[in-house]
Amino acid sequence: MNCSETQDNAVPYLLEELGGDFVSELEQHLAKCGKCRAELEELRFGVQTVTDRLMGDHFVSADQSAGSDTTSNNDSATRILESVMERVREDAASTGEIQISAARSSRLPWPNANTRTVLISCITFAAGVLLMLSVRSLWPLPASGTDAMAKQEQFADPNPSASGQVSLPETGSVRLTTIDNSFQGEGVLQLLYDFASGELHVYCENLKDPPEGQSYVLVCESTDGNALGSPASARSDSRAKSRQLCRVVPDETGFAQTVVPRLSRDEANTARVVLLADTQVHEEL
Amino acid sequence: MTNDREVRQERHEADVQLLRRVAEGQESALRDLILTYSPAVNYLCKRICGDELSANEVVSEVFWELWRRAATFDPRKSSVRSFLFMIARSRAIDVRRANSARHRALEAHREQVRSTTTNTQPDLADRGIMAAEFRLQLDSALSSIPQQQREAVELAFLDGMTHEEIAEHLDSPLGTIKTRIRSGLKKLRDLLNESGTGELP
Repeated sequence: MNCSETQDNAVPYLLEELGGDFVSELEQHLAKCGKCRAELEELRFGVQTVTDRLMGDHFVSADQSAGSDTTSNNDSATRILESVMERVREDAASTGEIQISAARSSRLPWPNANTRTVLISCITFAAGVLLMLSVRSLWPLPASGTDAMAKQEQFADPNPSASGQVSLPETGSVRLTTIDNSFQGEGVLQLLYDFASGELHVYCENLKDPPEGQSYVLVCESTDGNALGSPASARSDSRAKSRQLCRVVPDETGFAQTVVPRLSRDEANTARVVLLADTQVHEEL
Repeated sequence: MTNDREVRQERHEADVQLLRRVAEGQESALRDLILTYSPAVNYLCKRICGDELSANEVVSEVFWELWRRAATFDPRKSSVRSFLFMIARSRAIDVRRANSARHRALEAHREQVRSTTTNTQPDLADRGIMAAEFRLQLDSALSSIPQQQREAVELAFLDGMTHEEIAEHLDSPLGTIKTRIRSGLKKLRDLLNESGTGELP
């Protein structure tokens, strides 16, 4: 890499936009070129000047916070902190390297750099298995929920034996993504569980118009037959409440979104979700 | 102005101390940083991701990464604010890229940016992360640099677009965008330093 290339890519480098190989080449050049190092430092100074101002003057510091916002700021900070520490503990538990107590005074060994990527991949994969998301544009809904689930599993994850519990943080939210290649080439769907509201947000892409007289319906069904969205102590075997139906109406670009309300964390972990087009469910709605 | 510089210096030193404590595993220090900077991080993430739900998700990730990387922070090369900004920008861009289902929202967002940046007076009033005085300083500095440089810098720093995304968005060669941002940053740095507000070491 020459000086011109290095200086052209100095800002992308500072903004962490470059790939690993390119970064190595650039750093090798920087190590032997004082002129480019000077240019980089000059630009680092510029980046810091701007970013300091973007970050610096909108804060409620611990010692300055006052008034009506204090409580909400504290609550928000507590939620974020709990979420972070939960992830730290999960990370530590998954590596089996360290034990973390709530109050620590000693320095922590930092997790391996790849741990986060692996953790997210595991969560995403396990979530894909557990949620068994399947999309079919022309799939009649069987009369009973049990039959529906049996049908659904035909299109579920190709490796259903790889199941397990998904460890989700206590607070915050985790994005779960599953791609069903059987659906119109792409069929990208996304599930996002919001811990604060207990809502499961479902986003659909590339949906074609349903056949005439039919509607797309999202079915969210508990795997244990218990009612969804009820306190555990009040659960019953009522099939009527063991699934929730949400109408899904794609716009002209095939995009649609819907929300399954009132799901607990455990329910969101284990519920099966299927999108289908059917007259029967359309009438049921 | 001297007072402003001193206040910033004190803030910088306090932040560095907090981050050192975070590197030692002190949750209370992380809480103080969250309390101080989570509104700005949240705003930045929301602006880049395009929606609040994703932003909330990213904010926790940002501070989790801050916890992990605290020991690598070098106060000679960066401020804590800048360090946080880089983490937040990168994570928010990751989420935005992964979130293909929200691509349309991003397009709408970019369209909004496009219409905003055609205004000869940059409207930063609604970018609520900045206090009034600072807003005026950056507003003034941005309006003093060439329009094409200002546009590219705003897209990179306020809207979290990568250089490649900006080149595509503006239908300009990547090299041109790199040059505009590089030149714009140097001018902004000089202008903001001349304003007497002073940058952090």
